[in-house]
This record gives sequence, C-alpha cells and structure tokens, in this order.
Amino acid sequence: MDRAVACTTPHLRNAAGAEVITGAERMDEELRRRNLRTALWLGATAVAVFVAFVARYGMSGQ
Amino acid sequence: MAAIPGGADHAHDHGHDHHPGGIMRWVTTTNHKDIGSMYLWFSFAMFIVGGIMALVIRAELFQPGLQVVDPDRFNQMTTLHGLIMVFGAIMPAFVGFANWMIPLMIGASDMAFARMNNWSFWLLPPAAILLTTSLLVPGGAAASGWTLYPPLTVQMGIGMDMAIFAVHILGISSIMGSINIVTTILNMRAPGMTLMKMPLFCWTWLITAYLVIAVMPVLAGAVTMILTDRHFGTSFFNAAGGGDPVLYQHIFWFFGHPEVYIIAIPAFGVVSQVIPAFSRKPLFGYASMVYATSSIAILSFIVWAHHMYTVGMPVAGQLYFMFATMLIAVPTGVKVFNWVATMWRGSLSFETPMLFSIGFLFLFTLGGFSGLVLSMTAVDVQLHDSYYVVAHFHYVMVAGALFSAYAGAYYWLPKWTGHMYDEKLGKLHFWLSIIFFNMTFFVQHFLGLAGMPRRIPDYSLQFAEFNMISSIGAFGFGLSQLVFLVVVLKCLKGGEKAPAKPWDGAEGLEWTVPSPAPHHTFETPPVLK
Repeated sequence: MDRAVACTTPHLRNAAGAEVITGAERMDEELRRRNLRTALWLGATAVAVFVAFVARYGMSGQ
Repeated sequence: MAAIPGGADHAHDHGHDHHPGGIMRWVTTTNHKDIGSMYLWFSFAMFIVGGIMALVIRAELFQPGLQVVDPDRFNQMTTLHGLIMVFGAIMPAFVGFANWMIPLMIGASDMAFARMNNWSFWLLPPAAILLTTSLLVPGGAAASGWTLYPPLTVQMGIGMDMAIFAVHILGISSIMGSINIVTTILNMRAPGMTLMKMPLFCWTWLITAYLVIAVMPVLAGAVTMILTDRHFGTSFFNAAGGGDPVLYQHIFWFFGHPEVYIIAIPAFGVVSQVIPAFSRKPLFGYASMVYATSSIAILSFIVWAHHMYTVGMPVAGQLYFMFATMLIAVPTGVKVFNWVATMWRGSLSFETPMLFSIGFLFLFTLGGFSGLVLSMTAVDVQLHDSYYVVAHFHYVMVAGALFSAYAGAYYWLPKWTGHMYDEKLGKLHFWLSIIFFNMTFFVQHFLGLAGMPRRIPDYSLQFAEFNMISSIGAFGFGLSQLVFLVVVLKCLKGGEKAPAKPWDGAEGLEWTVPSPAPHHTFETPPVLK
C-alpha cells in the first residue's frame, strides 16, 4: 500500500499502528487493472464529449 | 435467489475495524456505507435549504402584490431552489442509495474506487456553500432560473460566477461518482451474478451513470462558454457579438432532458425493488423493464427541443420533437404496466415504503400524462412558461423522484440502522405528504391553464384563490417533511431490532447480511448459483 495514503488515512492502521488490509486492498491486481481501464475509458468519453461540444458549438457561435 | 456459500463470512466483526473518531472518521472514510450515509444526510440538508427557498416563493405568492421579497430576490430564490433541488438534493440522494446498496446488491466488498468515492462526496459541500453564499454577494445570487439562459447570465454579477463554478464542481462530482458506479457494476459483481440477474435498482443506476457521463460534460461546456462570454470577450451566446442565445438553449436541453431521466431512472429502480417485496411476487417482466429503461435513456437524447418550441423552429422540427417525445410514453407505459402487473394478485401489504411507491405510481403517471399534453406543440405554445409546466415537473420531480426516495429510505432504514422505523409516523408522513403535495401542485395546473406565467412575484387578481391554496399546501408539505426527520432520528436512536430480512417478500443479497449491515461486507464474494 502507498505509505503516503496510509499516513493520511489513519483508519487504515490498527490500534498497534500496523497497516491493515481492507477489502479494497485485497482486490487482486487483475481486477485493479480492469477497473482502471474501465474508468479511463469512461473518463476519456466524458472529456471527449466536453471537448467536442465546446469545439463544435464554440466555433459556430463565433 | 441462489444459495450463497460462505455468505455468513461477513457476519463477524473484523479485528482491523478501527476508525478515527469524530469528524475525521467522516472526512477520511473510504467505506461505501459511510459515504452513502453522508450523501443521504447531505441531500436531506439541501432538501431543507431548497425547501425553505420554495417556502419563500410560496409566501410571496400567497396573495397578489409584493409582500415578502423584492422581485430580484424572488428570481434568485426560484433559481437557487431549482439548482439546489436538482443538483444538491435529488441527485445526491440517489447517489447515496447507490453507494449504500449497489455493493451489497451485487456482492462486492466496496465501490471500485473507494478513495475517489470519498472525493466525489466531499466536492459537494463546497459547491453547496458557493451556491447558498452567493445570496450574500453584491448583486445577489444567479437570478436567471436554473436553466441559466443567456443573455441574463452574461449580464449578472459575481453570484452568477459562483453558480457556474458550483455547477462545474457538482458536474465533476457526478461524473466521478458515475465512473465509480459503472466500474463497480461491470467489474465487481459476485461470481454468478450475471447482468440479467442483477436487481433492477443496479440496472437503473448502470443506465443512469452512462447518461451522466454522456451529458454532464455538455452542461460543463455550456456553462464554461457562458463564463468566457462573461469574462474573456467571447460571444458564443451574445447576439451583439455575433453569437446566438438560442444555441445555449439547444446545448442546455441536450443535457437537460437526459437530466430529467438521470433523476427519474434511479427512482424507477427503487420502486422496482419495493413493489415486488410488498406484493410478495417477483417483478413482472424483468427483461422488459431493463429494455424499457434503456429505451427511455436513449430516447432522452433526441427530444431536447420540446423544451423550446416557442423559440421559432421549422414545422418539421416541431413535428419531429413532438412525435419523438410522445414515443417516450411507450417504454414508460411498459414500466407502469409491469409495476401494476407485479401487484396484480399479489399478497399486498401497505407498509410505508409500499405506500410511497403506490403514491409514486399514481402521481408520476399523472406527471407523465401532463408531459404528454405539453409534448404537443400547439398546446405547448399556449402553456409554455406557465404554471402548468411548473405543476407538470413537480409531479415528476417531487411525486416521482422524492416519493421514490422516501420509499427507498423507509425500505432500507432497517438495514442501515438495525432498527425498525416507527410505522405509524411513517404512514402519517406519507398521508400528510400526499395530501399537501396535491394541494400545492394540482391547483397549479388550473393556474397554468388560466394563463399565469411562472417565475413572477406578483400576479393578476384572478389567480389569487388557487395561489392561496397552493401556498397553504406548500407550507403543510414542508412541515410534513419534519416527520421524516423525526422517524430517522428515532430509528437511529433505537427501537425494535431489525432482523437481517425485515420484509418477508424482499429478495436479494443485501438481505443476507445482518442489520445493521456490518462495516465490511462480502470481503469474500458470495457465489450465486
């Protein structure tokens, strides 16, 4: 786990101060990558829609 | 529902379940249940703030003449009421339901991006502060109506900038939340939970999240263009500089109509969980519900100009948008039919969630029907910007979305709090709400038909009686909502212990975990056979 995240999120440490493994951390690497891929596609779609509208209608309005 | 080997795994408490106390628990939490609760509390707080603004509007309209606020403040009230209710109250309420229930319903341990989930929520309070404090700045808050039409929006003071910035923040939050929901549903379903085995609530949220990702950037683009018109010398919407204010209306409603379904479709999902549970029958026509919901979402992209028949449009355009709009009645009719067919010969009982669902069914259908009336171009030209439109969309937004949210809240309160709510108070809340809601909004149909325009602080004498009735209804409705607050606080404090499955007709993985749901659930995914 990212140490910086562990330090800023104290609930990811147990009473003894050791890092704990949450459900999210237990996700296997393949699922993590798949989630990231899905999110990047969806995020890219949102950005593309924004750019397309501003470019298309922005230009027609000028 | 299939057997769930290892389903009791979640029942024990985990040794590592230590949280920081106080406010830091909520600031730093990445737990979907905590974040869901925060969304729900936030939305209720915004509902109260937006509701108070509605009461200022109704107090002013109690009788003709100016009594309570000046016309400019009145316009600020209508604008902020709309923005706060749409973006601050209704949308976050259903995101709250999604956060709480989707992982539980699909057997996931949490949302796919737990930290992003925290960020999605914590973007909301700054946006809410921007919106509400804009009332205090010189020139006051945005006063253009929630649609933020230019040229008004190009001319206003800093309050308009604050509203635009708030809309940007709320849009980013919604998009992040939606990415999280789509990713969770597509990738984190328990083994055996195929898409067509998902509870309908998850389906409706999957479709809604795609809608949000597709149309929120359009709104962001439109308000960014207003911002550059205001401060960077562009003239996208400024006719004096060669721009076109009607272009904004097209772009806004390309977002705005799907937005109506972003609000309504999760409401359909909640009702589709509640009605089968209290009819003690499986949902009638599950597959057709999925297809009808998808059809509504797709059709919502191609009907936007029915909001702007009066701007001047070729007859062919008017006809197209009229018929396309009417087409939405077909999949909506399929859904209403299926809900009624689910109840048909069911073993019905009328606990509060079911009462709110039936209230939704009657009144949302009425709102849909007045929508059909408004879809007809020739009629709409008469009724455009009249109180008929105000009545129509409040039947959809309040009796549709809000009643459904209440149905969901009462349905899942035992799972969230571990206690049964006070059924008597719940029923009192329902009956007061439905009576005062109709008192407030049904008469507004008559006001609109008689020609009363919306967004005015003063009106002609012939509208006085119906406005008085409507205002009394609005104050009754507002006060009735405090009953809900009492119910929730009582439920949090104690009461009859709720079993894992308090409703005998309820189905789904969420009812296999104890009540209240433990902090961590389904860390080992259940297997559905």
